Order: sequence, then structure tokens, then C-alpha cells
Amino acid sequence: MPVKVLIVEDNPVARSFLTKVVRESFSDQLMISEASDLETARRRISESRDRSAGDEAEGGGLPNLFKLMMVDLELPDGNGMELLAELSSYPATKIVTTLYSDDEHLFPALQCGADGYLLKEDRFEVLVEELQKIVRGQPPLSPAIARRLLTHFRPGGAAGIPTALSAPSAFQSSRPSTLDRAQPAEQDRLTPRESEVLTYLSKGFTIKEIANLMGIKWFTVNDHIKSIYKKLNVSSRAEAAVLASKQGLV
Amino acid sequence: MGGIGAAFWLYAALALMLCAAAFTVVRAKPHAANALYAVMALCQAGNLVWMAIDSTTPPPLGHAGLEFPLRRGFDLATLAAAVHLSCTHPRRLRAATWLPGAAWLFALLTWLAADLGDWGDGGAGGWWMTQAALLVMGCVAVSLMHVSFQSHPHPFALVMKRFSVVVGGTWILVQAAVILMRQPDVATPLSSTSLPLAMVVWQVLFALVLASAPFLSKSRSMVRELSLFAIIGTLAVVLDLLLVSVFALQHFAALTLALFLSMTVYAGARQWLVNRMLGTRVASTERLFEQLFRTTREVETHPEQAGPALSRLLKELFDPFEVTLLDKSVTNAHTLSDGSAMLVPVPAIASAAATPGASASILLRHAQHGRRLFTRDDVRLAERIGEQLRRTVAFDQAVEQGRSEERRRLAQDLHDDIGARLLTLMYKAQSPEMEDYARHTLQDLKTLTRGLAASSQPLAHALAEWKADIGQRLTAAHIVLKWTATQDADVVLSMVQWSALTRVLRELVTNVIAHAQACVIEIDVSLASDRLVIAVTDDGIGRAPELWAQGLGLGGVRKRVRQLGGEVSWQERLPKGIRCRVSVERLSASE
Repeated sequence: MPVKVLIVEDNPVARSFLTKVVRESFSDQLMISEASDLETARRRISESRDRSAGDEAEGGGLPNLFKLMMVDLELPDGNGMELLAELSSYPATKIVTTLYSDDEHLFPALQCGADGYLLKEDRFEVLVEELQKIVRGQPPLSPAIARRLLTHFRPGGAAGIPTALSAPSAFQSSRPSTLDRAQPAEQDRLTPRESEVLTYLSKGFTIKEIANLMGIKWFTVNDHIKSIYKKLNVSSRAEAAVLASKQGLV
Repeated sequence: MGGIGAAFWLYAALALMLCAAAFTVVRAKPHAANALYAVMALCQAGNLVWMAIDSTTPPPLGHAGLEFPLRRGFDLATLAAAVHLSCTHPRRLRAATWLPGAAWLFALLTWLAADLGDWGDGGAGGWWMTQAALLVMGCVAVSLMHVSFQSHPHPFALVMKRFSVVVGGTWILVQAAVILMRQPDVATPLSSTSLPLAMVVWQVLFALVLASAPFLSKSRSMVRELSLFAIIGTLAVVLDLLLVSVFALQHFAALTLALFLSMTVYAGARQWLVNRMLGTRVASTERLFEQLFRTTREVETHPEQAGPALSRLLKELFDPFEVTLLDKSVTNAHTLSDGSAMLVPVPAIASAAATPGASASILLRHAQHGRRLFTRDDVRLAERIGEQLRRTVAFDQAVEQGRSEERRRLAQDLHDDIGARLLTLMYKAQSPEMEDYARHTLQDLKTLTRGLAASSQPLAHALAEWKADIGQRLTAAHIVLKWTATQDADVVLSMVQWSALTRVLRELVTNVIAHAQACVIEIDVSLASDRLVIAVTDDGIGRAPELWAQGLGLGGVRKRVRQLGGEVSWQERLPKGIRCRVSVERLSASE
């Protein structure tokens, strides 16, 4: 049974390029679906759900569901983040592909549940490597996004983070965003280790350097990053729910 | 009754005015001080009515018997009320427990004694007694005002004291003239008209002072005219009496001369008098303008400082005893407690509206250290200043917001349209060189659009990003990065600086990757006492940098470094490799 992949991208040249990247990245047999706008993507996804419901009735696994989704942020009929938000319970690795590398655009996408991001202008080899890393569970985390995460997980000050780490660094003094003001629930707070990793990342250290500095294995650093991603998603969803209930939407 | 002359109507009108003032004050706020004021005003109105009746020829029957008891009563009651009032207003003095009662008792006793006692001499003894009592109470009232002002510099007390002194002084002069005339052995040919005229002037003066006292803080010009009238009236009366009694002039000539002289003095000393009575504005118009301009600039850059900045401006303008920033909000500026204080709202500056301290007001107490009252003009001026401040800042903010929105829109368009096309071009590139060229252009475009959309970036953040980006690129190119960065101060880079430095670094690294065949790149960024030095060192095959062709890349580096006001140089290093050194002597000057 081939692994199903969905690529949502409006630029046909970029779409075929990404298809090449995906084929290069995995040795499995692939079945790649393409969508050029949100509407098509939604249709493909609901088809996959219908078919997998049939599979479930027959007692098999869920081979008809997409395992991997690459979603462009700038689409003709809307923003890719809408799709990500709708798919929060869909069991696929969701990757944002974008030209925007700044945290202003990427951070909300990660909050919507993206498991990682790829920058479209990177070289082919770099993209292949990055994609493999994300699927293996080693998502990228730029210094700017690490800074945003630190602010996001800091409830009104130093509560979640040991002061020894937050005090000497000038990086965390970035502007407080109204979006990040809601307090994450207790279980969504960062552990001291995780915030240490984030602080190093925000200063531009690589995974290897961080592992050396903290005296841990590099894959442990990766585990921390993965966990941070998960917590961001969970806390953002809780935050959105709180916001929605406040506005009477739920 | 054919004898109702102009004088009758004058007195009657004045009496009516006083009555109106008394009723207005009592209606506005019925409490003790206002009632006392009403007593004074009504007594004097009674006096005026009596004078009006007196001026008719012939006087109505039966009024002669009542004249002295009534007018004495009016005068005594007025001064008793004045003593009472100066005990309690504007500040309650310690003597207020017993002095008002004593004054009223004293007045009553004097009245009874003068009226009932038989003093012979056609009632002259009673008259003497009354005048002495009036003098005593007048002095007491004036000294009470003085004490009140000393203990607490309320400008109302000061202004009232000055008016009382003027009125009282005139009164003493007039009485002295009366006494002089009564002395049978003094042979002054005091005319029969100048003395009643003096009485009339005094009465009118007193009536005017009394009628305008409650409204002193309402209008500056009224105070000025009143005080000038008081001074000129006093001067004229004094001169008239002097001329008639000392130089024995004819009364008409004396009156003319007196009026002429007082007018001359008035013209010469008007400004000085006005200043003495009212106090001048502390700041001239020129200074006011300059301060307003400075405050506006200040509030523009720090909208949250609007309150303190405005209070500084008002402090310089009015030189008050104290300025307090209150947390309560008021809609309009207004004077408090008879003009001794003024409350001015702090204008809501647009961007500061979200902060909780936005609704505030400024309380100014005692203009010019208690020597002046706040008037309606001051209120208007303060309100205009606040409004002007709000408007200027709102306008500037709107302009700035429009500008940044425009920049953002431009950045968005550039990014979306040109970026997507460059991306397509890059994917379709025929050769790796073309692909790299397109990628490079795309990255420059991204730097450019980001510079357009954002406003500034701390150096520390930029360093982290540079390190992460360069590290990623070098890893892909299998080159080791040795990165060191030190900074002795956390500076904020303007977007021009940020984008120039970003592109310089990117270009230098690109050159090394493309041409040097290096294994290790050392990048050292250091900021020490405003001097930024970036050194990029490789261990590649590059030699003789002075012979390098000035391609698009190196030319761009030179250009951008020059834009920052810095220098760039390339040197060979041993055993192999090239060191590029970029230095900006004064980073803060390269905005």
C-alpha cells in the first residue's frame, strides 16, 4: 500500500518542485495528490476520510488517510493556516511551505498545528534533508521563533522559567504580543530543560552546540524541541478555545 | 414731585445691581458665607436707596427722622458682616469661634447707644461713635484678611484685602474732610458740592466693589476695570479735597484739575497698576509659543508622558504654588474655589488611550504663588493648549501610521508578486549559477521587504539570526563555522543598518562558499564603545585580493559599508586564506 501525500500549492512550478523533493526524500512507494487551492484540498481530505471510514469497517488500518501534507500559506482562496486549523485532529505530519521566513508569519502557522516548516527558496538538497528531519521528528526552530516561543510560554514574567536563564539574556525583552498574553495551563508549561534549549536556540546556537553546552545527546535536544512544538500546539488550541468561548462562539 | 433727577436713577440702578448680585450669590449656593455677602450687599443697597430718596426735591415726608438710625444700622451691619466673612472665608481662622459674635454684638450696642442715648449736640455724639465703630471694624476686617493670606496664600484674600484697603482709605479721607468741615474754627472754604460728591463717589465705588466681589474669578477684565476705577476714583476725590481745602480753588476748577491729574496718572501708570493688582503672566507670548512647541515634540515622542509634560508647561505658564497630577478624569477645564485653583484635563493622546493612566487631570493651586486668581481667560488658554497638543500629536500619529501602512502594503506586494516570480525563475533555472543568482536576488528582496515592514531590530536578535542562517548555509556547503560575537552594549539597529549588515555578511559568506574552497570560516562580530567590527576569515585558496574583479557582489559590499559610514578591507593571511574586515567607527551615527 503506497504512502499518501498531499501537496497544497498554487504555483505549478513550485508544486512539481516540491513533488520532486518529496520523492527524493523517501524510499517508500508514494501516492502524491496535488491541490492548487484550499477548496480542492478540502475535497481531497474529505474523500480520504470517507474511504478510510470504509477501511475501518473492514477492520484494516487507515492506509487511505494522508500521512504527509505540505501546505503553502499564500493560496488564491485563503490562507493555508485555515486548513491547518481545521485539520488539528487529522493524524498526518503537516508541514508549512512558505516564502516567508520571518516569525510574524511562521509563528501563527506553528500555533495552528504545523509540525514544521520548509522555506521554498532553499536548495533542493537542503529541502530534502529538512523534510527528512521533520518527518523523523527533528523540526527546525529559528532564533526568532524561539524568542516568540519563550514569550508565549512565559505567563506574565518569569514564572515558568528559572530566572537564572531569563535574567542575563537581552533576547527575551522582545515586545509583548497581545496574542501571547493568555496563560498556558499548568501541564503546558515548559520544563526548565525545554526553556533552556529555547533560550540557546534564540541566541542562534545549533543543536550540536546546545547538546555540548547542556551536556546531553543531540537527539535529546531534538526531543525537547519536539515537545515544545507539541506544547505550543496544545496551548494555542486551549487559548483559541478560551478566546472563542469568551466571544460566545462556542 | 418734579425733582427726580439723574442722581436718583443712578443710585436706584446701583441699588438694584447690588440686590441682584446678592440674590444671585445666595441662589447659586445657599450657605453662610454667601448669606453674609447678601447681608452686606443688601445693606449697601439700602444705603443707596436712601441716597436716591434723598436726592429728590423735596424729600418725601417723614424720612428725616428715620435717616440716621437706618443708615447707621446699614453701615454697622455691613462691617459686622465683613468681619464675620473675613473670619470664615476663604479660610476659617481660629478667631472664627468668637470674633463674629463679638462684632455683631459690638455693632448692635453701638447702634442702640447712638440711637437711644441722648448725646446732645444734635446727635453729633452718636455720629462720632458710629464712625469710630466703623473704623475699628474695618481695620479688624482688613487685618483678618491679612492674617488669612499669611497663614495660607489664597489669592482671594489678597485681592479682597487690596480692595478693602482702597475703599477704606477713601472712606477715611472722606470722613476726615467731613470732620474738617464740622470744625467751626477751621476756616476752609470747603465747597458745599465737593463733599457730597466725594460721598457719592465713595458710595458708588463701594457698591461696585461689593457687587463684583463674587465674580472676580470669572473675568480678568472686570477685575482690571474695577481696580482702575477704584484707584482713579480715590485719586480724584483726594485731589479734589486737597485742592479745595489747601489751595482754596473754586470747586468746579478743583474738580476739573483733579480729574485731569488723575487721568494723567492713570495713563502713565496703568500698566504698572494692572500688574500690581493682578500680577502678570509669567511667560511672554514668545516664550509660551516656544514652550508649547517643545512640549508638543516631547509628547509626540513619548505619548505616555503627556500628563507630566503638560503640567510642566502649565507650571511655567502660571507659576502656581503647587501642581498635582490627579487620576480622575474631567471633561472641561474649570476654576475651583473662587479661582484659587484650576483643574485642567490631560488630553487623551491617541496611542496612549489603551494605557490605564490615560484619564487624568492636572490641579493647579494658587497662580503666581497665590498672588493671582485664575480667571476664565486662563481656563480658556489651558483648554486651548490641551486641545492643540492633542490635535498635533493625533495628526502626526495619523501620518506615521499611514506611512507605515503604506510601507507594509508595498512590502507585501513586492514579496508576493516579485517573490513568487523570482521563485519560479529559480526553479526553472537552466544552470546552478542562474539558480544561485535567482536565490540570492530572492533573499535580497526578502531582506528589503522585511526592512520596509519592520522598524528596528536589537543587535542581539540580528546576531542570533545571522549565526543561524550562515550556520545552515555553511553546513549545507560542508564548511565549518567558527562564530564569536561580543557586544558591550545592547544597541538597536535601524532597519537601514540591519539590512545593510545582513546583506554584507551574506555576500561575504556567499563569496567564500563560491570561490574560496575553504574548510573553515571564522566570523567575529564585536561592538565596543560604539565601534562595530566584523571580521570574516577563511582558509581557502584566495590570494591577492587587490587584484579581484569588482563584480556585483564586492561592489555591493563596498557600497553598503560606505552607506554605514564604515570601511572594508581584504587581506591575505598566512599560511592561506583571506581576511575581510568591516569596521564602522560610530555605529550610532550611521542612522
